[in-house]
Amino acid sequence: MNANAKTDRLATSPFRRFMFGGLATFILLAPAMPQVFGYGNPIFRPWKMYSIVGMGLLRGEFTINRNGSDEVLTPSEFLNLPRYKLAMRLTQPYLVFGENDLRARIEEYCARNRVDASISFKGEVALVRGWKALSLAMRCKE
Amino acid sequence: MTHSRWSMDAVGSTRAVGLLRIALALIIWARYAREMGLYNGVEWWSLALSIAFFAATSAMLLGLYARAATAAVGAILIYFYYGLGIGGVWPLFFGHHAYLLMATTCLLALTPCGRSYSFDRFRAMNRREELPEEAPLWGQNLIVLQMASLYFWTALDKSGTPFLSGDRLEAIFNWGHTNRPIEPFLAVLGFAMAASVAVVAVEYFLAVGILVRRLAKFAIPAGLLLHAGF
Repeated sequence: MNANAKTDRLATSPFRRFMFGGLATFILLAPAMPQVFGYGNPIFRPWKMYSIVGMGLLRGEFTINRNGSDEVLTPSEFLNLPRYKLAMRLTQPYLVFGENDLRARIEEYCARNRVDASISFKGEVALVRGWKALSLAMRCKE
Repeated sequence: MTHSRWSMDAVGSTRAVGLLRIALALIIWARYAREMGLYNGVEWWSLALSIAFFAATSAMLLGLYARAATAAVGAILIYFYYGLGIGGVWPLFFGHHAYLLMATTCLLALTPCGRSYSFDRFRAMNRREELPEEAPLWGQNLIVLQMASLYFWTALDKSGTPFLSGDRLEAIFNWGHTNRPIEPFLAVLGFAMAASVAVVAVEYFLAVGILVRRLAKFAIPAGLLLHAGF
């Protein structure tokens, strides 16, 4: 009997049945721990693909009032990002999750462009529960 | 005596797991080779890890002591995920792609993945040894269950208002397609909602379709179409 035949014989053993049953149960039901019961850890991990992608992006328009004239910019224009960086992380510096983040982005714009202007944003921010209305008006050099 | 595919005693061709072994080794290189380059070995342990990584993955690709090599790669990927990923050394090593690669490689080590398309087979033929290309499929079935589980649970996660309303998919489109050629098409009224419902329906279908051989001819194109979009 060669080594391969021994391997095949082993595969019909009760040990194989126990291992198959255990692994199959884990594979099929382990995600229920975080996704149904809310208890997750590195062993019991959820399958939530793309759940954070796009979160923190803005939809709407920025209005920059300088010397009485308005300039309207899209969020990507305002953030000076022709394209969002293709990294699935919530640590990207362009993301906004609330008013404080939006204020910080506007302050960065002011510092980057060295402008003295009134800047307002009216639109929505993408959060896990969907789009949420967000608006803010402030002046550079406040 | 014949057994159904899901019987514990089912046997079948080892060619699928042989091909999967080759494909996984290449995907693992595509994902980790840059970080594992010898030039990143700034300490003895990380240099040793790089050498072990390329030795094991090369043997896995070629099918040289294939099961042992695949088990070694699985062990290295476990270290990547739980040691380097969760440990914060390489945060990108901790994600669903990393977990899936790790799990599938470990499960592949439970299959006779060296019997086909391998250097092991070439050597056995030279020695005129018998190396049947038919063997127990239980390890392969676990890999299939892993895929089915993934599609089911991710579909369940999307089965709520934020995704089905189109909001989450619209944000994903924003992230990936802002200022890109297809952006205007994605902004068509109702497209995000229709696409969201289709995505969830396809994922639920795949969770079942990849388990049932008769549905495979529908599941494979549906899966390819889904992943072309994501």
